[in-house]
Amino acid sequence: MGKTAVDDIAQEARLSRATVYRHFPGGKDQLIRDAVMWETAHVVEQLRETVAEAADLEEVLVETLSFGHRAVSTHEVLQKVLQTEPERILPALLSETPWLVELLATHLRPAIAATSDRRPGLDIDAAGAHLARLVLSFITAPGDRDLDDPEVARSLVRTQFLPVVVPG
Amino acid sequence: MPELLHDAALACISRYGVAKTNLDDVAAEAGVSRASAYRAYPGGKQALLESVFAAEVAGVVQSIHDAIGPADDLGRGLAAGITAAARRIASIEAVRFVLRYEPELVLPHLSFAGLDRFLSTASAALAPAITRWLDPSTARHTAELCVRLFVSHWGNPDPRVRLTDPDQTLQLVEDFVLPTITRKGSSNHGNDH
Repeated sequence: MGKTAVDDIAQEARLSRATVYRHFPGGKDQLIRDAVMWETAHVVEQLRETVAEAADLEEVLVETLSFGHRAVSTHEVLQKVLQTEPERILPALLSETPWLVELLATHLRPAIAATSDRRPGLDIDAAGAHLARLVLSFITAPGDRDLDDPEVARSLVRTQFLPVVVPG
Repeated sequence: MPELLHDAALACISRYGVAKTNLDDVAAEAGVSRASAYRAYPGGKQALLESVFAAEVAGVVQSIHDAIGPADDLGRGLAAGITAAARRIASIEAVRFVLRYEPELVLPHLSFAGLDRFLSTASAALAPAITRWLDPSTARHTAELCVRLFVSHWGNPDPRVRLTDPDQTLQLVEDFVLPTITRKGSSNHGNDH
């Protein structure tokens, strides 16, 4: 990314430098932020399609963790930039975090609301935001858990996610 | 000498940032000669920074243990530990400068592979503070969950959950941490492995 100039981007897109700057007056930093946002929105959209069939909150969470972890760990550009220039991408990712947490929460809340044996008086809004934060935390830093293994993801969901919504 | 230089280094960082602070500035700030600063830290700026960082981290860990010590129950203990850590970190001016102007120095340690390493180190250091309520494995998982929530809320604050506020933190712990814990003597040890 350090070596990619706005000129290169303009050339690759077959646009003039002036056109690129008209759309991204903030130059390269703005381009990076916007690219991060489009890319995350795209992944969340795919996620929405993937979990559309999920039967209940447990399935939604298991599929969200598996899909999210795969999306992060196999994203070539993200992994390459994390290796070579984390200082450029991480501030952009952090500034997208509130929006991403809200997007994930929006997608989790209906499944929480549809859980009939949920805790009495559970604040669905807050629970959705909490589970969204946990999803982001675990898909980016799973520790020694192999989230590619659906049983590992399920076990994580049952111990760390579901008890918040359903009394054990 | 080290303590004098630590304080001076923190003062310099809170004014100029990490990149622009050098050992000469720190020596001048501490009122010692350049030669004695280099004698104390033959590794130069990098060695001094590592030493300052290690001391500040140890201070945060100690403040967490001190806060949990007198707590009557696990929930209050966890909340007190989180609040103590948040307050202690917020009180370090140098941290405020770095977060604002040099976030690229911090973020790699709190995201992706860096977060994995941080979670592992931090939960190992903090789990012993709660083993009077939990078996070691559950203590480790609970500490890890608290550190995950701390990092998440610290980087992306929720106005309803200020980590420096004891009541809001206790609510966070009661709603989202305690339900995941099965206590000593029960069959499920909250281990997700």
